[in-house]
Amino acid sequence: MSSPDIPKIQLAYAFSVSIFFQERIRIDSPRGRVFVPAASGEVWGPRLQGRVVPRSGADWASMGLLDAHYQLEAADGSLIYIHNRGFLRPQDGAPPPPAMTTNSGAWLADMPLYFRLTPSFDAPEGPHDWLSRTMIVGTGRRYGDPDHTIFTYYEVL
Amino acid sequence: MSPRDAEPIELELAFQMRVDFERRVVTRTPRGERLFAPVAGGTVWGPRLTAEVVPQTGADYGLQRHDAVEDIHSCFMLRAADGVDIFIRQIGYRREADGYLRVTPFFDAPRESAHAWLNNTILLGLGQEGPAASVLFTYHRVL
Repeated sequence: MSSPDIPKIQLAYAFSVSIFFQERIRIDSPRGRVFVPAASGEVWGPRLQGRVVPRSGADWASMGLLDAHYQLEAADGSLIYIHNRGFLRPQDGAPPPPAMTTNSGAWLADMPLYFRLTPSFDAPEGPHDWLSRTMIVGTGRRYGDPDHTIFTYYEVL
Repeated sequence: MSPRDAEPIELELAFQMRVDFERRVVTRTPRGERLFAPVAGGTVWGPRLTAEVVPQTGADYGLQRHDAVEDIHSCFMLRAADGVDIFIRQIGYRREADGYLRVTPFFDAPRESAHAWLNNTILLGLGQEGPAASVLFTYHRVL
C-alpha cells in the first residue's frame, strides 16, 4: 500500500516533561471522571526548557480520554498553557488495568501501555509561539516511587 | 535525535480521505473569524478504512486567528463500506505562511464493530489543499 504519492509525516524530538503526582481522586460519575493534580515537574529538551508550575492543574480524564490542563513556565519566565489530550490504556491484547484507587502511586507503572497524546498549547507571542500553531505528538511512560510520568513530545513537521 | 528515557514513535499509514467542502461562510466574532464550511461529501480509502464521507452531516467550523493561523475544528459522519456509521471530529492547524495543515482526529465508532480501534488510537493527519475546495488528508496511526 506504500506509494511515492502518499506523503509521509516527519517527526522531530522537541522536549520532554516530567509530572509528579501525590494524589488520585476518582469520581463515580457516569463518565468516570478522575482528578489527578500535578504536584511538580520539569521540562527539558532542544525546543523548550523549564518546569511545570506546581499545583497549576490536573488531569480530569473521563471516558478513557486523558484530559489534562497544566501551566508550564519556560526558563525565560514565559507561562505556557498545555492541554494534554490522548489515550492511556493497556496495549492491544493486554489484560485490563487495575482500577485506579486514591493514592495508588505505582498505578500502571509496570504495564505495557498505549500512552499517546496530541497536546495543544497557548504560548505568548515570542520565542515559544510556535507551540500555538504546531501539531505535537507525544508518548508517555509511567513510573512509581516516586509516582510520576515522563512525556516525550515530537513536533509534527 | 532520540531523547533519553523514551521510545521513538512509530507511524503506520492508516487511510486517506478526500473531503469536498461547500462554499465557506465567514462570520466575524470577538475571537476571530469563524469559518463555516459545510461538508459536501468525500471518500475514505486505505489499508485500515474504506468509507464515504456522508454529505450534509457536518462541516469545518474553523477559527481564523489574528496571527494568520486557522484552528481547525471539523465534525461530520463517515459511513464505512460495511455500513457502519462513524463520527469524526478533528482539530488542528492551518498556517497561511507555509501551507502547513495538520490535524488529529477523534472518532466515535460502535464498540462491537471492526472500527472500534478508532475509539482509542491517536492518528496524525497531513492535509493537502486540492482543487475546487477539496482537501486530501493522509492519516497515520501512532503505534
